[in-house]
Amino acid sequence: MPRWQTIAIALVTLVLSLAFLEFLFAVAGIGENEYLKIDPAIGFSPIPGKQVTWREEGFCRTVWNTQAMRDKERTLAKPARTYRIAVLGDSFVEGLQVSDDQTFCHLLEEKLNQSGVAPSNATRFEVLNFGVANYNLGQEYLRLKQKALAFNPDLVVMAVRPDTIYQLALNPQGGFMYASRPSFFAGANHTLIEDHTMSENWMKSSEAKRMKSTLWLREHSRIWGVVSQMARNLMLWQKHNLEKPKLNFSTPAFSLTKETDTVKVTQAKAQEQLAAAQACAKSTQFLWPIADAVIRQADQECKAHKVPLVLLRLPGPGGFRNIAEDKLLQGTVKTLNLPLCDLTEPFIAAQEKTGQRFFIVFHLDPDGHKLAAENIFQFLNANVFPSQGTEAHN
Amino acid sequence: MLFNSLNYLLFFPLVFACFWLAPKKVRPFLLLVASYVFYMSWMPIYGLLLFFLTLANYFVGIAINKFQSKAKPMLILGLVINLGTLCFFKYTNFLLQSLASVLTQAAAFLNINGINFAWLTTMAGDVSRDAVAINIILPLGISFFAFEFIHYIVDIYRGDKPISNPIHFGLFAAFFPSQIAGPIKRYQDFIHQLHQELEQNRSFSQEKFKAGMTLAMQGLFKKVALSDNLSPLVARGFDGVQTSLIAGGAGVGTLDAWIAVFAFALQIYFDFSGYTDMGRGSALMLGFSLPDNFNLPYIASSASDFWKRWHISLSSWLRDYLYIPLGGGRVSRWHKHFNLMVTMLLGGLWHGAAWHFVAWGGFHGAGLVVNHEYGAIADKSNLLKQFHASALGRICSVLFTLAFVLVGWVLFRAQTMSQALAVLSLLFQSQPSQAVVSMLAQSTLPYAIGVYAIYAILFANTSAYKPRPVVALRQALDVLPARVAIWACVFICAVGFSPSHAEPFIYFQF
Repeated sequence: MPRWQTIAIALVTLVLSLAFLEFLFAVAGIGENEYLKIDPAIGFSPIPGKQVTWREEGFCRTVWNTQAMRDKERTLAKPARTYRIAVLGDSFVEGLQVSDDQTFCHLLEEKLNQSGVAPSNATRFEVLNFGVANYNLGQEYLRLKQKALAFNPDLVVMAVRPDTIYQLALNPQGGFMYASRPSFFAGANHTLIEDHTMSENWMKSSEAKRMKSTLWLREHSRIWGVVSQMARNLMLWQKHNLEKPKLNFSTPAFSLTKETDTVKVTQAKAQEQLAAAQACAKSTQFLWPIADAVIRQADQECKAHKVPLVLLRLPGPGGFRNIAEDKLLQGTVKTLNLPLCDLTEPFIAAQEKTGQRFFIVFHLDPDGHKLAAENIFQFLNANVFPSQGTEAHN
Repeated sequence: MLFNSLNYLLFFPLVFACFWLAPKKVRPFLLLVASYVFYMSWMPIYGLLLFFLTLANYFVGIAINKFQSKAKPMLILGLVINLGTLCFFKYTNFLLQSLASVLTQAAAFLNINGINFAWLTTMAGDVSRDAVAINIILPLGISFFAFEFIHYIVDIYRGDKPISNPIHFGLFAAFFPSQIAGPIKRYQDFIHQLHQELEQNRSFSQEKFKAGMTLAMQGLFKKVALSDNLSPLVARGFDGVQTSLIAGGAGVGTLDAWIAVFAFALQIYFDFSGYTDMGRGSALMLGFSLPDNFNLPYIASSASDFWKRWHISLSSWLRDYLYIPLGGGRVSRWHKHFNLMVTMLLGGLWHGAAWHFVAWGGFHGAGLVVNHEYGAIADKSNLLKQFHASALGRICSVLFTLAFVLVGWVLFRAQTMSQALAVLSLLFQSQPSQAVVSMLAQSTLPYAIGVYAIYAILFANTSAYKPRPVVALRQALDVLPARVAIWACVFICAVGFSPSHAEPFIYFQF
């Protein structure tokens, strides 16, 4: 066979195979996990219009709307006689582990519209989902400023989860989703200092350059999604294998006792948990002034726009509870006179009553979202709407 | 090291390049070193076990050949070494726990009669907490290389020549493409290929490389895109039944159970044949042909046909080194059935030290006995002969065999006999289903199966479906650059379809 013919067959095969793969991956929902792009102001934000099929923990097939929200299309201008609630948070609010109609934002909107009672002169509700995975409290505040307030909400709900406080600390080693975001510090008189030094430095890195130059592929190609997943796995493999000693002859092939059965192991585990709880309380004390400053800043921003702010305490991953932070949050809420919708106790009570976990692994399962929506609904009706002049609209 | 790991993705090209660049006399030694690196990457200390077993069998082989008058004791010594090692690592806990269970029950029974046999309970230990178990880690592939050693010394005893070169023998024992989960090689064939390699000036063959890489890619796809995606369905189905057994309530429904059972049949096939394909493909790229292990097992028309198509290297080993020495089929009718049952019960036990594996072996043994009896009846009846020769008869035979095999897989997969019985009874109830059904709806499996079907039609040698356009396409894609493009796509496809958590190969535990 002539050389040109061989090359032609190879090229045609490659092009056709790649086209087939793109089509196949689009139909099967593969390679759609990369839905975040670099956002110089906030670190990262979702790619508008990106289709995502999520298969970690739970499952969903969704499309981020043109405003980069995990929500249906919303007009920037508020429709007449509509009461808008903007919900800010991280993956717990985003809810990629459940389908669109199972997120607590969607369920809350449905419930509020069915209730027939609305504050002010509104006849219908809109609950806007501004949740983005891996956002810390500081990024939630930035998203409020950058995006949510532009939708002219009547109420802002800001999620404060027990483990998000740690993400306020610098973590330049964690890659894109950690190193790209701005750092936050607490200044004098509870002021918030937003610092972009680290993130600007990261923007010059080869990882950032690669992400920027491949944005089109990230937006449109599922094959690229798979290839970059492979690259990530390779990096993880490198990390794992460089840390692991290569030839370790000391591994016991067999022994006459089972380590898991011994009292020592149980004691060591209990001590580990105690040490972790103590470390958790210490770091919470250390970091809380930053969280406090973020909440104060968000409150001021909302006040400037004449929008009430409600804090939402969602349960931690898998039910994790940070008691030290609970107390500190209570203090901030009391000082600022902010309403706090705390879902910790309702979740514990429901778990005890039903025996259900309400979590898939870390995130809420569909019943967890349902429980959250139910409790937020009750909280709003009891503590927020009455002060805004509630009336029946049916 | 797993064939579907990044470690292997770096290891194999390195071995491949070194092998073909090295002078041919060095190649066996190089492969031997690579095989030990491969084996010791998991638990280095077990490299010593493999080494000492190899050494022992090498000398036993030489001794059997050299001292003909002492051949039998030498053979027995070899068998004791191999079976003793296998039994220690694989069956110690099983025997201890079974013994403890019997003793505990005996103590309980004797107490009823007013006699205190507390010492029996003390001896048995607390069975419920596994207190009698020794923490033994099963060396990977021990069942496979122990069987290869037994084949070697038995064949020497029967008159074949031993391998004189210790490097060659070491390579036969440790050859990495077949080291962990077979196929169980025959040394005559392997050494013949090795001699060919050394005597003839064999150079790199592009044809073998293409065939090997195509096979390896097929195996990778079977493992990561098919088997690993079937695994959660199977686990959900079987674990759901287990949860229902313990806690009560409806864990899974009837359709869920059916899907889980079919999914396991496919999972174990794709998992094991995927591993075999990757092993055979790797070996072929190095110029070695390993025996095939599968030949479309789920279209078998009888239990005996199934064992000619499933894990062929094991079933032929069991035939040659267990069934035939027991007397095989040249004995009385009931003796033959007894031989079949013993062979299959031990074959079941070979798969794992648990009673449900023994039950699975016994079930297949019973199936083979019925099959032989029915065959004898059918041979005498013209009506039955005509029926089985017809298309309807063939379809019925295949479906009946498939149903039989599926019931067997339930025994194989279940963790306990009670779980197996619960799954089987659920298959014939009408419980509402959701758990596994919804998982299947969210899975990428249907697409992966579609891709595999296209690949198999185009490239698999076993594919019987060869219409003219397919043959033409095959020929057009036979040029190396086109193949490279397809392999790249299959690789991306396999990675794309693979779930986030990779599963270990099922047959590694055996």
